[in-house]
Amino acid sequence: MEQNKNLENFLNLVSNESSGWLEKAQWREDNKQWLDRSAKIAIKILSILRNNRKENRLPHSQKDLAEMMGVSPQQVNKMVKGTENLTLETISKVEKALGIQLMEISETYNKSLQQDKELEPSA
Amino acid sequence: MKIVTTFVQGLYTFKYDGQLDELERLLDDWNNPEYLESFFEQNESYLSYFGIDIDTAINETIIEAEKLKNLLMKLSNNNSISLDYIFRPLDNLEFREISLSKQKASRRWLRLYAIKIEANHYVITGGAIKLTHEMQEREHTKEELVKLEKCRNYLQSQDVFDADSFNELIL
Repeated sequence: MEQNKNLENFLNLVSNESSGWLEKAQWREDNKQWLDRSAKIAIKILSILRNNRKENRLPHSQKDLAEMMGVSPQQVNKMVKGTENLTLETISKVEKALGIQLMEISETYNKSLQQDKELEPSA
Repeated sequence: MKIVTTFVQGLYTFKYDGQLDELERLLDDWNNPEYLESFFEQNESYLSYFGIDIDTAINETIIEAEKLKNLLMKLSNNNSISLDYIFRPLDNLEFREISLSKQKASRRWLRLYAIKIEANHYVITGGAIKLTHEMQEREHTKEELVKLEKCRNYLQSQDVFDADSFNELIL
């Protein structure tokens, strides 16, 4: 009986509000494929900036990178949180500023394109 | 501070003033490469124990956070899973010798901390990336113990008494 009273006292403290985790989790689930890629790109950018700081090279901060890309620091900050649906244009700007390649079309895909071309009837 | 529901039957979470609720905040942080980079940079010396670099630590944390999210989503759809089975008493675990070697092998370092109110009724007070054996060893895990105490005091002031010692959820 005493236990029930304890639980009742606790439940009286619970507000009508609900946690926001489930809505975000569902969104993560629905967008998992590109979010995984976005996070990997964010980790790569942060890793390069960190190494540049150690070796005293530019860009070594989000601000430096933003300047080199010609975008706002807020935009770069969104990118490194791993939830930004990046455009090809933005990816290309990052690649140019950091001197790396973030995305490439796989060899298998290239081969399949080549095969498709070979199968095309000649004019 | 407030206590809010979580969509998992019997599981509640604290929401401190001016912040997201703890469950939402932790899942946000553990999925955020920028937050994780800053955390692991500050705790880089502990990563040598695990033999990994910062990038790997960030990747693995995001994978662990995904597992935690999946577990919680499963719990929100299935009332038959017992919360008592998932949470373990914190004090007992701290003294379990095998836990450290087990943790090293699988790097299961995400923790949700909760107070048990009654059987299958828990309220989350916070969570941490636990890189060391003892909570007192690192500032951020020590802070979690302080939060647990504060929340317990708050509950006691409202005539709610915890059924057990503090608890933690390990994946």
